[in-house]
Amino acid sequence: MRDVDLALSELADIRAQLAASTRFQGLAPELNLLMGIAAFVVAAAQGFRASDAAGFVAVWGAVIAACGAIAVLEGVSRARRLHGGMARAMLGVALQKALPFAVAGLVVTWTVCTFAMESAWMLPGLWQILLGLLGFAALANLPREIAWVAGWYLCCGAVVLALAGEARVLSPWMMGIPLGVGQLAVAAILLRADAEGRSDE
Amino acid sequence: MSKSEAPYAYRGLDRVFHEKARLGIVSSLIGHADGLAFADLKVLCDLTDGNLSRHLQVLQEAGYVEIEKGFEGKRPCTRCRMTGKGRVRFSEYLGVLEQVLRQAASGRERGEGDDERGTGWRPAHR
Repeated sequence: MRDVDLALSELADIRAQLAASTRFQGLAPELNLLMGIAAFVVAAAQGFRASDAAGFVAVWGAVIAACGAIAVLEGVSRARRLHGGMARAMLGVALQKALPFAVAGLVVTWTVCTFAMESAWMLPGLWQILLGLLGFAALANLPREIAWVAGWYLCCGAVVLALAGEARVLSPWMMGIPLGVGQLAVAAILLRADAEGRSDE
Repeated sequence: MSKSEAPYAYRGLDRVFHEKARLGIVSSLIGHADGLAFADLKVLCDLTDGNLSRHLQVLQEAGYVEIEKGFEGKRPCTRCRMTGKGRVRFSEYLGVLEQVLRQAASGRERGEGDDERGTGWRPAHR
């Protein structure tokens, strides 16, 4: 390898190291606040109308997919605005962390819905466990307090799995409370971190 | 002369980073989101207390590094951390260094091509 190529590859390593330990600013507190409120509203609305397991999975799957899609669009635009020259590297790191969990969620949901609909009661718990694991995996690029939210999702996932396994009935609040409280907590943590970040500069 | 007419001006090469000791300090700090203790930084960069303080002050004044004085147990401890602004500027600085290297490499390739054709600059004595 030529000296110049070696130097360029070392610079790329430093850049990757920089991105891996920098706080990702693509998550908007306001959007997470709206997600939390939406979770409560959807749970309350679903409570008035009894739906079967397929309906439950369809509604919450759509809520999570919509939240995810909006978060990605907003994340890209915020990252470009706030990370400047680092935006590409930061988006790469975020994608690297989030994609495996998004794919796992999709695969689990599709498999259960296609081959084992009678096990659909497991899905809310599994989704929450995946969200918790995503939070822990992304800790290096998020405010440290996110660990509490990740722990919340993990505990909620276990409790929801136990409750749903016992009753074999899905309640809208099995998603509404974990997702609502979790996203409101994320919004509060991000707001605080943003305020601290602004005071640094 | 405009910026596009002076490709070798490297105006983005931030002088705050472009100093051996400060480059060492920043390179040590980038991998640590929670920062490093003053004592650790001193060992990593092989600097004296006075030198490290002076360079940290330059980085702090530019808004690239924040310094927190606190306690670790009962012992006083000073922690140094890169700010968000410092990380963005350092990334831009790395971009300019990459540009320098690419231009140097393309210049060298052009020079090698000239040598193969028997033209271009040659030293007087080989």
